[in-house]
Amino acid sequence: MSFEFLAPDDVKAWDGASPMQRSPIEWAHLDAGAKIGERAGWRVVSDYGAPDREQAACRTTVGIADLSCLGKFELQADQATVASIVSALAGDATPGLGMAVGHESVWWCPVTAERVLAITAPERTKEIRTALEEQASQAGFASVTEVTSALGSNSVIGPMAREAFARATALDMRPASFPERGFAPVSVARTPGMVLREEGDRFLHLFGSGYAQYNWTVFVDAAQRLGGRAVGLDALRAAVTEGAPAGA
Amino acid sequence: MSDRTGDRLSPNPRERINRGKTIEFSFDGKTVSAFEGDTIGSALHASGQRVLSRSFKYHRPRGLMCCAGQCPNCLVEVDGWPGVRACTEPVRPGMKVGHMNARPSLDFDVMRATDIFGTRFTPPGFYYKTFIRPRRLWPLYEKVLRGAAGLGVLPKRQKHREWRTEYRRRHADVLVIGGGVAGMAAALRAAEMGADVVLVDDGPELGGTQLAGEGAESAGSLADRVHASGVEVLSPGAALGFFDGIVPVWCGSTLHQIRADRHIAATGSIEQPLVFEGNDLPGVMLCAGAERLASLYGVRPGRRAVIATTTDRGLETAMALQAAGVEIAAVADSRREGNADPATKERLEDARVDLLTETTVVGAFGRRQVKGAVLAALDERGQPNPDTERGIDCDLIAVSGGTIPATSLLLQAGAKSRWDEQRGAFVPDSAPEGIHAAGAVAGHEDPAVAEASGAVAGAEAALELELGDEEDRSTLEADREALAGGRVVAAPQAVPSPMPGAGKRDKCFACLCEDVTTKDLTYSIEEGYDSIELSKRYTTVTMGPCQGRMCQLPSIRQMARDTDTPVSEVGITAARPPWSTVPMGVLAGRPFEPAKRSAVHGRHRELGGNVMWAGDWRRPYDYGDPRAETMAVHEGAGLIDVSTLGKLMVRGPDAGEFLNRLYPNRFDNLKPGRVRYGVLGDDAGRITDDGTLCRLDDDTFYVTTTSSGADAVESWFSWWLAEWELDVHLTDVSQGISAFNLAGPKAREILSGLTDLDCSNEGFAYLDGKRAHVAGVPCLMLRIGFVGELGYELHCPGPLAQELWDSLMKAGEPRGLRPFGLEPQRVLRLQKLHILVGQDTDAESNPFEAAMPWIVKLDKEEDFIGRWALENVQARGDESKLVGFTMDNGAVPQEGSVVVDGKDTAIGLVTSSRFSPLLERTIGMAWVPIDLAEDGTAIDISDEGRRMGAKVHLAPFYDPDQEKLRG
Ligand code: FES
Repeated sequence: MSFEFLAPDDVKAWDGASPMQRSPIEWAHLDAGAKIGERAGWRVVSDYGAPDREQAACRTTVGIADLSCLGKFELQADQATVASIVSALAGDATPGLGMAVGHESVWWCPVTAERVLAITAPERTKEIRTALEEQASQAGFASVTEVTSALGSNSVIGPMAREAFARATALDMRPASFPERGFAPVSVARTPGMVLREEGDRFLHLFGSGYAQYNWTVFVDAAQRLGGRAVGLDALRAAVTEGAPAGA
Repeated sequence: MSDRTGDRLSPNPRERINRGKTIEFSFDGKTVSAFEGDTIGSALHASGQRVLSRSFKYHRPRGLMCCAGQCPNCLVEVDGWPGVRACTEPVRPGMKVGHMNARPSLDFDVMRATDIFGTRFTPPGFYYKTFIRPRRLWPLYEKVLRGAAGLGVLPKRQKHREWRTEYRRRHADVLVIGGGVAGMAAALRAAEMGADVVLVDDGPELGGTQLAGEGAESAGSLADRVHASGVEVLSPGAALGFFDGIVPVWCGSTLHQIRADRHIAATGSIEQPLVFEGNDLPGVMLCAGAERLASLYGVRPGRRAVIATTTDRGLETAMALQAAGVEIAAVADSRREGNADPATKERLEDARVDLLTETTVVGAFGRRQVKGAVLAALDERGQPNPDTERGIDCDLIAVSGGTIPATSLLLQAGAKSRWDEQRGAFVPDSAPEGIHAAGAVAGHEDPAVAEASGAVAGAEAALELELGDEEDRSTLEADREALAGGRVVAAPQAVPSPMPGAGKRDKCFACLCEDVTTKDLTYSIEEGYDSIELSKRYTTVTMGPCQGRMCQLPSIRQMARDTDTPVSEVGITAARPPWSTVPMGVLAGRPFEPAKRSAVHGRHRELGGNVMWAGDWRRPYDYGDPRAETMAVHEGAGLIDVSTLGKLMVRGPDAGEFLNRLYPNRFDNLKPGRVRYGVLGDDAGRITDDGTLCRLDDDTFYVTTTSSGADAVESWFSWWLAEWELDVHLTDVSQGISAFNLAGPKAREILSGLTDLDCSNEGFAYLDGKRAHVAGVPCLMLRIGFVGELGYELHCPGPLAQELWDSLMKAGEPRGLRPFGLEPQRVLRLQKLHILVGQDTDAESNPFEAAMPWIVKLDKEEDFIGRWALENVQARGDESKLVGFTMDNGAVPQEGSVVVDGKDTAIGLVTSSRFSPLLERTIGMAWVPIDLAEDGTAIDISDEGRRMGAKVHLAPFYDPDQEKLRG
């Protein structure tokens, strides 16, 4: 089972309101002029006051969006058990090392053969938690730990997205080496991280959430030098192919 | 400074300048006019400024020599940045250019006295011999030497010394280094076969040496095809070296780290200078340099020229310069009659140029620039005959000592080199797999052949990567055949030995960068440095900005002559990066300073937290008044953000056993919902970390570690888990779980108001771990007391941390709650003698001597890490002890002060000390010998020589019976 103190959505009403979840760097977004909206119990950045320019950045250069709100779970078990649990929840597909499986807005990302990271849109976090725990409880020895708060996540999107990463990581992100669904644990800006190529020029960067502000600064700065910028979820949503898996 | 338009030649189709657009800049404060497209060097030369710099050691005047960024002669300061090569740096309106290395002015440099009077006192290595006595004066000597040495001065203020370079990682199938015809052909071929290609060239446009000659047009159209083929061109970009497959390329404000599967070196060749007396005078230029100046920038290199050459190169230069309007006084060709290319010779005769065969230049005269050349005929041994010397007036001596392949990058990549007698150069041999050579560096100097060799290298690289098809294979075969039939070897040449430097007229420089004369090299050999590698270290020849381009072969020839050894046996010095000069800041790249921040960092800022580094976290040291914050914890309540603690979920049926094996105390018998302190040790029983462990259910433990130890503990656990293969899963949740310590006599009251949980002492006892919602936020609460007051450590998901922090602050405000930082926490924990691992312990500390014998359970059935060592420590008995102390005089000794005996010998160490506002005295912790570890024992502490009395105190200073903590 998971534990409620690890699950940020397990809130109770207090003083007439339910606590809202927020990005660890909401203060930095507010400093940058963010307009805050709401999504599945999270306070999220809708835009930074320039929605048109944000959308243009996603299309023509590079946009960085804070996606801390994605639900994340770590499933650990032996290789066969991991494969069977993922297969049960991901439409019979199993992720091979280096390649994630996307199924119904959930990414199944193989960190090792015995450790898979499930990433889900915030709207489905509870449902995926329950499904994973149910599957794990039926296995011999499998554990599910919620890491929604432990891992920060940014979406890096646009034709210059790879260039933004090239300022911070040695990962070969050319399509031939890192195709769509490619997933790699890798050092980014000298911190441990993971990168998923969700589709085309859209990447998800995951990192220890303590580094959220650091990574945000690194990427926004790189994006700005490439003509891009920080973007809100409205711009991100507009740029994502309809029906594509995961967060946006 | 005037605009000497007289030194501009009539327009030519190859020139890079736009004569319709004038740009002004300043040199040493005087305005200089230039054309768009000029370099600083070409503009200064056109304006009549021949001296651009002063040399490194003798402060001799130096001017343009290679006009290609290959020598040290034109280094200037641009807008405060030293070490910029004037001959390659384009002019910009308003730029401020200044000389370097000359005081008070470029025209009058007092340090020139070293050249005129001091040569005798400054042989190689003089600084090892001259400035050693008296030793106490060394700091003074050092200051003087440092002031005199070096090239240029960095801006004084740090902020002016900083600039930003991006690191960009670029993966590629093929990296081609060199944008001459060979490099372009290689890149184009590989790209046509489907390879992802990067082409690097140090010039502002592709084409290499062809740009200044007749091949400019065809080079231009090849360049167009390269650009159209999708090849990424980095130009101007300097390939700095070869580091295990990574080639860093400095290009503008970016350092590209290029990782390619295949490498093609098309690095070309380097024209060599001749070594003769006064060979450094402004006006002595390489033939290619003089041609570049005339052809690319329309600047007259000189009015009357003497050409000295060892190949046809010089003959071609003579014709090119004459065509441009330079009077050719004579051409001295060191080869015998009949060795020159007949067609070239005929053209020379048609042009009525005086060709002197078996003749060379032995001297240049002139004080600040060339006024004439001394030529002499060569005897049968190839040595100049002094009886035949004759002077010729001229203001330009264009020299060409042949070319050598630019092999440095190839050699750095693992290729070998061998001496080629026919070419008179060390040439690359047996390149490692995946490394190809094309063009002049591979011996293919002729442009058509060089292009073919590039195409072959490009195709070979692509085919190795399994790109291309059968047609490409047949094309490659045809290209290989064409290449085999091409002219590969350079024309025969006869390079006169470097002048011995008898000093008849002037110095002969083997190395212009470091001012090493031929005499210096001879001297170093006489002193026993008779191998080229030793001589290099002693004289510093080849170690300057040209990186051996101009001086390696001349110094090898000199060594060969002086030691009577064949050049092939003297060998070549090791090729090392950087191949091109590069500012250190470029290598450092953009500074990344990873920092972790808590989820409520924004609140800490708003509350005025003084944020500082704590391990890899940024956290508040205090909120402006550490004393008041300390007292608030004692009198009301305090709230500190301890999210920095490491936090691990340890899960599985074997979790208890796993922890039993890791810690010296027991965890399998810990009841769910209870907390226990643990000290983690290594195999030698030394303390490595500590923290609390809470059992959440039968199979799950929540383990906290120190803030700085989180990563190490996670690695340690993972390592042992892999070894023991227990049914345990680990997950690091350190950065996702926020934690706040609510402490103080009012803590219970504050907490009770925010949760339905029974917070009474019975309902929530000391060392209980409870899960409940606080202000609607799901929390794990540990009742522990690091700071010594009734306290609760509240752990919650980071995304809800701000809600929890705000609710606690709001509820606590009427009860005197205030946030407190690290500094008050340190005082509070010291009052309880709670240790900080890493501060109060070191790599030698064990739990017995750190006053925690109770934590070691040697009666445990299982083995545990460090058991054997701890049994031995117990059997041996304690030798020292970590104790508390109070100061007699109220002073606060620095942490790191020593405990001393009667003879002032250090016998212990102060690890922590603070003034306690509650106790109104100084308290601390120190390691002392075991015989002093008795309550009340007087000890002496020496703080930077100041001796002070203190008393040992074994029990906690505050609440020794734990009544507050447990109450
Ligand atoms: S003249 Fe500028 S580097 Fe040689």
